Amino acid sequence: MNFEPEIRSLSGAEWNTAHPPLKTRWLSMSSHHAAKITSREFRAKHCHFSFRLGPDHENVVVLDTMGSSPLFVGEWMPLASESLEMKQGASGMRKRISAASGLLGLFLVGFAGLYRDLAAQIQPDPQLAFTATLDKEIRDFLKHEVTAHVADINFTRPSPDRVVGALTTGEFSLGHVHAYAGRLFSVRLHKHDAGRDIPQMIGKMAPIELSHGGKTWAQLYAAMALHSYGRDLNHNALWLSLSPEGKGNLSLVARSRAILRCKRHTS
Amino acid sequence: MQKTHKLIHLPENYFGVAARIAAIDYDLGLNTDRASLDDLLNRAAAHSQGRSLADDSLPTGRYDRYRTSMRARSMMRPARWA
Repeated sequence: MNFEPEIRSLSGAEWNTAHPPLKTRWLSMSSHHAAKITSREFRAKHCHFSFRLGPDHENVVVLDTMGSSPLFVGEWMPLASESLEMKQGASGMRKRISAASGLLGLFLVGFAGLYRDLAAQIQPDPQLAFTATLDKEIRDFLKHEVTAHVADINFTRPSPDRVVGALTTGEFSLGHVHAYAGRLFSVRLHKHDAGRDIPQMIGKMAPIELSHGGKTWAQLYAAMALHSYGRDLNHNALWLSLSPEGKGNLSLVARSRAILRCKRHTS
Repeated sequence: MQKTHKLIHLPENYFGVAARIAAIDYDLGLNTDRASLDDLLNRAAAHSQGRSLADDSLPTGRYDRYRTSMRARSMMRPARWA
């Protein structure tokens, strides 16, 4: 997708002025905050911004008034025209876009003038900036703390007595790690953010829990960890990352024995 | 063998834990037996006597963190349960 600059600007304007539900549908959660900030920046800058495609041609880089420093990098939202281009080939579609750009350019000039007047009356929202800052602080804190704890866990047998000085003996201590390692996915930390491959780490814990008998809380935490990655096992990143043996171990820990016993009694 | 609806060597409030495990398993598709899940959920509900107390200090009950956790989970029933 190597559009001419004016086409990229057109695409950007269409993207950035899309109705909020459309933005939400196309953006990931991580870029949702960024979209809000960009929207604020967009208003504050009175429409003086520009776009360019990132080096990977997948992301959009929003540049400031001078076109020099990036405001944020977001996902590229394919427009209907781009989808058509993918279907019909780049050259034919580019001609079509070039022909349309004259008419649309005229529309944009009027639109930008109108929007600039409106934007001048809108104040930047400090709440959005606060949310983004808090989001980053929480994520940095989690990353720092989890990395320290995870680094201190070894998976040799027998399992460690202490992790970062805290006792790990008891029925459900390692299970806690199981559950909260799963939650890292829910809070959108990358699988390597804790210094280890988190899904693989969860997989390694399953046989340890099994060797301890896989008692009630261990079962619950293993099930919670698996569930954190999504309810559809065909798209569950944790489940898909495990070997057949790993899947067997994890499902053995996570499966409710009450149900299994019930089945055994009634059969 | 007849079902006794009694837990062996465990406090009765573990029905709540068992019900949560079974509910997650059902949601993940690890267990497809809805009747067994309903049985466990009903048993856990019966134990709480309609007050959402999930501890074993009957008949008065006691508020603890597990009660909050289980209550929150039960309120997040997925659509496919309907």
